[in-house]
Amino acid sequence: MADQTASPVSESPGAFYPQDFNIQKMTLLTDAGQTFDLKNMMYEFCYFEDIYNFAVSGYVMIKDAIGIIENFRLNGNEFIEISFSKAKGADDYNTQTYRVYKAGNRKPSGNLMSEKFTLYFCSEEMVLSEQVRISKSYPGKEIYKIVNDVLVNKLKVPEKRVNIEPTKGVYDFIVPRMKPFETISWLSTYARPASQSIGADMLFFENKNGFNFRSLTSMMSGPVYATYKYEQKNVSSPDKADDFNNKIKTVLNYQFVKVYDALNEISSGTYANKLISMDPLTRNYKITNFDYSVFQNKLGGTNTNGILSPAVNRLGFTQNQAYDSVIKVAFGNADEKRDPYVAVAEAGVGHDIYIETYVPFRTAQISLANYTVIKMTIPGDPNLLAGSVITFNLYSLNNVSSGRELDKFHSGNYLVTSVRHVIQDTGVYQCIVEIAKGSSPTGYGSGPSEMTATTDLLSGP
Amino acid sequence: MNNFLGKDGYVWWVGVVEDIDDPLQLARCRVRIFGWHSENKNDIPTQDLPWAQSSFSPSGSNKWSVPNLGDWVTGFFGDGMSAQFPIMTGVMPGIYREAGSETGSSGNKGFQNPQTPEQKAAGPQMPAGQVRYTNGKPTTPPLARGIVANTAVGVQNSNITHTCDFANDLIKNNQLKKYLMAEAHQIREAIRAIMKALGFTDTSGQFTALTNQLKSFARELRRLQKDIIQPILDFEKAVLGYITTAQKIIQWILSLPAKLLSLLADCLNKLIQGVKNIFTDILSGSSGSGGELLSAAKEVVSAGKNLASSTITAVTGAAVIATAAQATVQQAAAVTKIPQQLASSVSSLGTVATAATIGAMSSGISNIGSSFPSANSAVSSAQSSAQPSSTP
Repeated sequence: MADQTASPVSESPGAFYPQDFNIQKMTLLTDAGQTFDLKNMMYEFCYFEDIYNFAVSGYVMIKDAIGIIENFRLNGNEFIEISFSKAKGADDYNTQTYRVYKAGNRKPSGNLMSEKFTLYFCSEEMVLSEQVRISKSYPGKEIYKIVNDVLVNKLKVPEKRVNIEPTKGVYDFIVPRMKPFETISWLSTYARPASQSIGADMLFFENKNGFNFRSLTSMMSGPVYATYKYEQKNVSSPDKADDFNNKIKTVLNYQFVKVYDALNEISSGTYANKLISMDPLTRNYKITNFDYSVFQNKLGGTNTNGILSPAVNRLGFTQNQAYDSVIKVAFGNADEKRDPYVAVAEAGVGHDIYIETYVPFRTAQISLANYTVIKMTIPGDPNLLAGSVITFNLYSLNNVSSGRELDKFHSGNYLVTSVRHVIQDTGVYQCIVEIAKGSSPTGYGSGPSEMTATTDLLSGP
Repeated sequence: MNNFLGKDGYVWWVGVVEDIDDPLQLARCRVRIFGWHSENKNDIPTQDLPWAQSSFSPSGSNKWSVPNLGDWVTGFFGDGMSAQFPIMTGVMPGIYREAGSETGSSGNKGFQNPQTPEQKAAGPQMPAGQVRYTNGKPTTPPLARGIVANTAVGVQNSNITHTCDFANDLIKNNQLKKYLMAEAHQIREAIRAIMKALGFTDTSGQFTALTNQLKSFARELRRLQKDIIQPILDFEKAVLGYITTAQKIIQWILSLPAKLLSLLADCLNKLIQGVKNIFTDILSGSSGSGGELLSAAKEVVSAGKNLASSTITAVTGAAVIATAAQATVQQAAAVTKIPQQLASSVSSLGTVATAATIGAMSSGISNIGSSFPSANSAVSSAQSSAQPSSTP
């Protein structure tokens, strides 16, 4: 299993300015075996990882005066080896080899003496995954073992680049001729993390450390990688070292992509949803209601409190009781082995797929994880990973005598859902980070017990 | 995916049945599905295939059957694109192919009939004499293709014991006989009335008075046509209808397999004999009515001729009356054809029976035909006599 621990760059020596970087290697390897150094031709480099994407991807923007595309016969079968860090001499280089799959934006520059173009790259496994399909049975297998088989045996991913979280239950799956990444993504919808008593929030994604099959809950429960803050830019510490450590964790800018969106949460089944599961074999059916308030303390999160308001609408129920907001109907097989008739010929039915668990929970948890979303730009940090947890200290607008207080609801721990490392030849290295949370440092308390008061106010005398 | 049954699209499929031995006896099958499942049994062994539930016609929840090994079936996935819950909806008939060593249950290649001839021979067998599928032949049931041999019906036919059920037909024959006898009597009386009306019962030479009575007599002729001659024609239809039905019965019997036919030979002979007796009685004159009928018909024709000739001579302008008389003659001529048609129809019974080489039936029918020589000659004579009178 790959090591998920990493240190913030503030602890690595050599860097002086927050946006320093050092590209050690940026080499193009052609299908003819030729190599070419792109370091001095690059004017922008971007590397992107996202917990909702199977593989990392990126691009290198090139200013070319020697005709690389023509002379090196680039045709989409090249590789690019990239190694970069915060500072020269650091021991935490982010070194990866990617498949160059496309050249684009090719246009002349400088009186036809040069041209600009962009080389797009992604993981080699992403290309391989598009080239093969899996049609194979996995009787009586745990999902995480199937995922491991797909990655290690089908895609030949080195085991050190595979980080798989164990899952509960055994299943009888036949992978229906899906692509490998598609297969894992499909399996993730059924999977329930073994480390959690409830929930079905497994995700498959790649980051710098390799391929991850992990639950949102376990990622949210992970250690805080670093604490970032947003403050005035014209205040600096007289101590250069302290000043560097301070600035490296200062958010350059941020914006809320979503503060909250109650209508979206209701229609997504975040607070409540309903599953009608039925089994034509035993002729049983079940209705499973998901109630966020029942599970919020068990679901875990980046912060200690849930996001549920106790407000009751004028129909007489709270958000978490609106089960009909999302209804799902599916086949299930939960009681087959318990049926007295089936019991005498148990081999005639498969293992339980636990549809009553995974469908309601996954519906809620995936939506809940993006309850609040912030996009922010921070000084470049090659060790910052998608799937890690950071603390964002957002200051309150309330002034108190002791100084600025933190926002009670939107400060706190966030899950890093995506990281875009951008290095430009102007000497700037920044990370554009998207962070999200589905919990709050402060609960919404008891609040008004009835929303009708507000309704009366709006409706007037 | 919506995870809402019916809203995630109808994902349908075609597959091949590899296992029908459902431990739960719910008519489920293990089906290898084209596209979704590998043909390589190393990747997906037959025993790993999910049990596909059956979905039968709502016309009868108790009327169903299990597809056969190697059958191509269609269906849909109950879980849409996840493809873990196949449900069968139909079977696609095709040409039956026996498995080879590579494609059989011990081979690695799917999408084939998994049962080799050796396995088929070692497995459960059809009842003696029956064959379910034949290599290279359609999988549709032989009976549906009109083939009885080697089917359950064929086997049942081979073992059948027969109880004759022609009694009802013979009873009907007796009823018909009574009807025919009654009709013949009425016809005879009617013909006598015609003779009397025409004055042919009086040969004293009073034809000169006839001319004066022609006008009223024409009306009488029309009444006679309606009330007497038409029933005679209806009688003809009744007799011919009966003969046609008898022909159909005999032809159906003759179309049965030889073994079954032999079982029915006795019954057939009884039927033919019954038919023969009826017509012999009626037409050959054993009761007297048949011969009298023929004789009377001849007289009617002759009288008609005389009537027309006399009319033309006596009243040149009485064209209307002559026409009426002519119609009477034609009707009477039609009556004379009845014995001829009866003779022809009944003779055909003899022809059919002869083709089946049933001696008794053949001779019986021939006897019927031979009963009519006098009728035939009488008809010929009547027709030739009536011909000139049609010219005014």
